[in-house]
This record gives sequence, C-alpha cells and structure tokens, in this order.
Amino acid sequence: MKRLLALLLALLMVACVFSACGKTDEPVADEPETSTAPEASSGPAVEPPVNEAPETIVEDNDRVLQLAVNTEWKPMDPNETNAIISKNVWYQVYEGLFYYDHAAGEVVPRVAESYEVSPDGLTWTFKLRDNVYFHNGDVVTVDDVVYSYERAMQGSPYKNHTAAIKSVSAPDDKTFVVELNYAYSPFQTYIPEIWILSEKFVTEHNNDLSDAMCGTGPYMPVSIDRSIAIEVTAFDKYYGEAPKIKHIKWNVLTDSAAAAMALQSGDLDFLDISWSQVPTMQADPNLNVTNIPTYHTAYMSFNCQSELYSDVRVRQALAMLIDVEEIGLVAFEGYCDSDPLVMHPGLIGMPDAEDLDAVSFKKDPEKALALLAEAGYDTSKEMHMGSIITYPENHYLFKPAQVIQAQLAEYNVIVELEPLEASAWSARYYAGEYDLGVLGGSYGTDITGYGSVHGSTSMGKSGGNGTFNYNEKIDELFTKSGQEQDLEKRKAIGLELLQELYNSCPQIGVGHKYNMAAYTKDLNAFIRLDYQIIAEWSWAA
Amino acid sequence: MWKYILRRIFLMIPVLLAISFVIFSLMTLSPGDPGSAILGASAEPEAIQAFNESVGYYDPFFVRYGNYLKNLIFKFDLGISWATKNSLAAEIANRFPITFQIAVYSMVVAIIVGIPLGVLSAVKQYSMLDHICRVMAIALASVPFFWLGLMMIYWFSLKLHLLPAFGATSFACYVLPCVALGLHYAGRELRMTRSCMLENLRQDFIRTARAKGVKEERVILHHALRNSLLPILTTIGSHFGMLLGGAIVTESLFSMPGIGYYLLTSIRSKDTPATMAVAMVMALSFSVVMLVVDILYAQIDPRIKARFSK
Repeated sequence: MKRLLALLLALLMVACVFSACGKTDEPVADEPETSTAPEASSGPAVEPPVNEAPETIVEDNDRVLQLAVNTEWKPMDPNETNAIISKNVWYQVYEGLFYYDHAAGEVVPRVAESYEVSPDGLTWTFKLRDNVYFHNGDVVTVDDVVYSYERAMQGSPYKNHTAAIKSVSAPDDKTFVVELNYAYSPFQTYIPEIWILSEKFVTEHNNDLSDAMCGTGPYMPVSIDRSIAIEVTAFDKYYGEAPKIKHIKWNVLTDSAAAAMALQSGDLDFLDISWSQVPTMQADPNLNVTNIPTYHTAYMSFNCQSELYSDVRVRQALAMLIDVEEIGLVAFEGYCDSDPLVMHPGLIGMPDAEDLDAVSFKKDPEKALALLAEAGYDTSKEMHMGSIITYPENHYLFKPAQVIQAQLAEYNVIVELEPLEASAWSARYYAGEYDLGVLGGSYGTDITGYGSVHGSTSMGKSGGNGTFNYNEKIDELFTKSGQEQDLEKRKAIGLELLQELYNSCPQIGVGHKYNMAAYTKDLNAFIRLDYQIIAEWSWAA
Repeated sequence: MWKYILRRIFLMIPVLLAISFVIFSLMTLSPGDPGSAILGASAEPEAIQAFNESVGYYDPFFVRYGNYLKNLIFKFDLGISWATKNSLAAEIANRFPITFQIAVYSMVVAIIVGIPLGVLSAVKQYSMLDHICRVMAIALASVPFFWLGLMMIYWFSLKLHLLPAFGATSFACYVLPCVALGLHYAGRELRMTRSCMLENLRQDFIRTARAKGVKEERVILHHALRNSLLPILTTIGSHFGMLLGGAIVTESLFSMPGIGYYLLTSIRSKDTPATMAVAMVMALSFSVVMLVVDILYAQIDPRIKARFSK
C-alpha cells in the first residue's frame, strides 16, 4: 500500500513536470530553415490617445497618485543626466522659460510670459513673468535665469540644447536675452528642458543636486530616496492653475510582472507596460490602456567601410528585400508604425506624408537581385553577407534582427546573428567592427536631432553614427535645416535630406515602436508626447 | 578558543584579498567602460572620456588595484560610487539592514518549518507524514523562487489584497518575500534534519536511553536532535551567509533596496567601486557567519570544546 502510494506520488510529480507542455491554440508559423524568427502576433487593438476633456472630475486632496519606475534614479542634478525616469519627475517639478506643445505645435508660456526672435534668428528675447516662486519661497529673478542657462551650458547631457548659444544676458530685471552663434530653429524645442534653477538653492547645496530639487513647477519635492521612492506635493505658490492631483509618488519597482500586479491590485495608478502585458490589461475592467506617443525609430545600419557593404548597390538591394510591415507584425507585435524611414515622420522639419513615398524603400526582390548581380554576386547561390550584431536583452531590437535574417534568407542572402552584451555591442558598433547592426532610439523632436546618428560629426563616437558613411551633403542639409526659420522651407530641406539618405543608404528604417501604458479608470490622464504633465490630470468618478 | 578565533580572523584576510583581486579583474576584463555605462551612450564622447579619466579608468590595472587596496586597508575607505556619487559606506549602511532583515526572517521561517517537519519525518519514517514531508521538501527546494514569489504576489497581493507587493517600508513588506524565500530553504533544512535524525536514531546511545526509560520526547529532542545539530547548523549557517550576501532575485522581484539588488545594478553600470564594496561585504559576512557557526559548534559539542581548550 505504501509502495503504491509512493508510486502514485512519483507519477503525480512527473505529471506536474509535463503539465506545462500543453498544446497551444495559436498557429505556429512556418519557420525558414536558416532562421529562428519569432512568430507573428495578431497585432494590437489600441488606439492612439484621445485627449478629450474629462467627463467627471473628483476632488480628492488626500489621494496619492502612485507611479512606478523600473530602476533606481541616478543623481537628480538636471544638468548632469537626461535619463528618462529623471525627466518624468523634472517635468512636474521644474519648468523652462516655456513649454512646447508638440501636438498643437505651439509654445506655452511658463517662467517667461512672452518671447520674440530677431529676423536673423540670432537673438531670442524673453520677458519674464511676474511673481513666479521657487519651491523654497524665493521669487524667480532674471539672475536665476542667467545662472540656469550658464549652468546648463556646462552640463554634458545638454550640449545639444545649448551648443548654439553664444551668450546669455539680462539687460533689465524682466528681460533675458540669448544670443546664438548661428540661427538655429530647433532651439525652440530645447528651451523647455533648460530648467530654471534657484542660484541660491544650488549654492546652499554646494552645487550638489544629487538628492535635492527646487524648481518653479506645480509640484514641490517632499522626499527623495533614489533607491526607494520620490514624493512630491502640489506647490501652493504656483502661479498657474493648481493641480487637481495633489500628491505624486514614484516607486522603484524593478520587476515588471510584480509592477503589473501592483497596478491590477490598485497599489499603482499608472504604469508603462510591455506589449505582452497589453492583452491582460485590456481584459481588466478597471484599467484603460493607451499608447504613449514617441518619436522612436529603429533601424538597421550598414558598416559602409566594410568589404561587404562598401558598395551602395548591395545596401540598396538589402533594403529592397526587407518587408517592414512583417517586421512590425512579428518583431514589434504590431505595436508600431511600419515605414522604412530612418527618421520619424512626425519630427519637426520632416516633409509631409505625401512626399515620403518617393524616398522610402519598398520591397522589390526583382530589382534587389538585379542590383546584387550588378555588384558581382551570383544570386542563384547562397550569398554569405556577414552578420548582424545585436543584443538579446533588448528584445525590441533583437527580434527585428531575427526577422531580417529570415527575410533575407528567402533570397539566398545569408546573414548570421551575433548576439553580444550591450557594452560589447556598443564597443564593436562604434569602432566599425561589424557588418550589420540593429539599433534604435529617440533623438528629440526636431529633425536636426538625428544629425548625430546620420551625419559625420559624430562618426565613430559613442552614441553617434556608426555607419562610417561620410557624406558632406547630408551634413550640409542638417545644418541648413537647423538654420532655416521657415517651416515649409525646412520641409523641403528635409525631403532633400531623405533623398540623400535614400541614395546613399547607410541605414534602413525598420519601424517606430509604441510605448504602451495602462492606468486605472478613475484617473483622467491626458497623454502627451514622451513626458506627461501630471498637473493636467485629475481623478474621475 | 580565543586563539582559534584570532587565527580564523587572520585567515580571512588572504581570502578577502583573493576575492577582491578576482572581482577587480573580472570587472576590468568585462567589455565597456564606466563612462558609457553610467552617462549613457547618448552622452558626449568628451564627457565620457572625462568621466573615465576622473575615475582613473585609463590607469594601468595594478595602479588602480593598488590604489583601491591602499584606500581600503589604510583608510578603511570603500570609496565613492561612480554612478550615484555617494559614499559606498553610506550606501551599504542604508541597504544592509534590509538584506539582514530578509536573511533573518527567511531563516526563521526555514527553521520553523524545516526542522520540526524533518524531526517528525524521521521519527515517523515510512509513514504517510514522512512521504508527504519528503515530497514537500523536494518540491520546495526545486521550485524556482521567482515563480513562488510571483504566485504569492498574485494570490496575497493581487487577489486577496492582504499584503503589499513591493517596498521595504514596513514589516508587512517583508512577509511575502521572506516566506517565499524561507520555504525555499525550508525544503533543504527538512531534508538535512531528516537525514541526520535517521542516522542518530539508529545509534546505540538512543537504544540505551530508551532502555533506561527516558521519555520518548526527551530521547528525540535532547539526545537525537542535539547530536544532529552540527550538520544542520552548518547548513543553516551557509544558507544564512548566502542570504546576507543579498538575495538578488528576492530583492529585484519585491523591489527591496538591499545589497543584492545594488550589486546587480553596480555590475550592469560597471560601477567597479560599488561592485567591489558589495563583494567584500558579502565575503566578510559569509566568513563571519562561518566563524560564528564554528564557535557554536564548540557550544553544542563538548568534544569540540575540549579540543579547543587543549
């Protein structure tokens, strides 16, 4: 009897082991012989955010908006880091001279109530608002503004923001003037993130803002523990409309599954989620799911100085063998805008949508194979075209590499996948020790932000251009776009730039991924590009 | 006894030196530089270079290692974190209590669950209880901790709203992670206790005690269990030492800012001073725990105490 019982228990354990090996209802896509490409998903059913006026607003002065971040904050000095999780906090605590509303395409006054730009674009004059207070109770003076800009000009992460500035001055107590070295229209998009700091506060803290914040924003800091949580509360001396949500707390939650359960249990109110979590969140009757607009672009780079890819015909051929729509469905699970552009079409300075078709690669295997033959390849046999370096820990860039490998293999173009650790990937890519590489990022909201990844000035430098495609015309066009004030003329320059990138083909765009978020239904969340202004949010019934 | 303790303390020094050399070498050999890792790939190349120069990244290996040892040994200075710019002594002082609490509570759970069940399982060998305990021990030791932790979050936090899923701000925050971790180790304690008890219950002195009419409870608890304690203590000690090194998965899953999670972030950001500091604290903690276990041996086993006295 005992032996029988022991045998039954043993069989039960074995059954438990195999219980996970169940059938799945989803069809398994056929896999090409040389690839382990991920399967296609059914795609998302999430609409872009519709920011309508809330139907109901509930006043709750005690409730804390619980948010989460997935890693600890680095030092919170706004001139020493531009980490996304830090900026999520700074957008509530600090302000610039104005805020730029990308959706509306207009400037919203903040510390400055108005500004004007000289006709030559070199002089920006700001009139400061009266009675703007810092969180320490001091009134903002023009000296604080001068100090803030001079401090930002020394900060490394903000070189893009301040590179064009020649000098700053204060001709009177209400006027702040910025002189530029050259006309630079993108400067308008950088001003919101040149935060206005209290010179007195910074000096009192020995220039160390690692764990201290003092801005002019609608929220002031209550507690800062970069490894646990940051808490802020509504600033009662804020010059603008008082925020309806009075308290915010960002909690460090490092595990995404635990964070998702915290959202579903009500311990969190808003959370950035992964694509795989979307169906679960959509099925939860207490949650809304939205995508967060972003200008992210993923692309595959060619090493233009390598033996395999120095010929532009080869690069263009591969561009015509790739199906970006399939990459979007398989690699991004449908959570993306699929187009082969190497810059997001929504950027300031990009041409209108109807003009983009002519400068976008389309799948054309016949033409692609003809180009390869012209370049000396025997397309009837396997063509070994090196490897794609990628890093598996970043799944939204690893999967496109897998799909590209599979797509190219259909036409006898054989590329290997070379998974690397992130630091090793970066070292190889920027040293030009690769054939193909998949990467992506957001480079601001203006087309000139992409000058570092498509132009020659940052060639081979970390965070810059790793294609080693030296093209003076591309550099000139980026510069010209930055110096042009008229938006329509900038669009024409943008079109010329895209044409040059199409002709030289140092990169191929593979899609613009969405960032997804879920939030509780009793929250009226007004969703903006990249960073949210929580002062616009409120509690619902 | 004091000579033995002093000798063990002195023996820790070469162990810690060897560990520091290995960790330092591994961090140096790993690809990437701290400037890129900490400032980010989008930082200006000049800033990355300046950062690397400021932390001595371009100095020769032995110069850097030598400077590190000099500060550690002569100034007792663990250094400054490259990523947070905070004193590492302060960082560890803030985090170690959390890890210590996790370790203590988890071991309490492991001992409370594992040892009594191990004793019962041994005493009632081949009974239904024994079979259940053995299956439970294997299951608890085999189940991946992160799965157990997630299931507990799912049931106790999401479904029942009884306990918080994250943080380390109150005792309630420690319940889920410490119970999950404690049960994982309880399986091992159970198996060890059962095995030692079975071995001792077959000894002649147990038969003698029973023949003399000693009560069964005293036979089991005072005679058999006490003689089984040495290996059990070793197991508990090594588990406790490992936990003091930081339960990385626990701290990550439950978002508890202990030294285990700090080690993980330090390695990822190539923050060599932080990694070194945590590794040294882990090694020191483990060594101290093993020393304490050895001292406890002497208290439990008079034969060992007598040997020390000689």
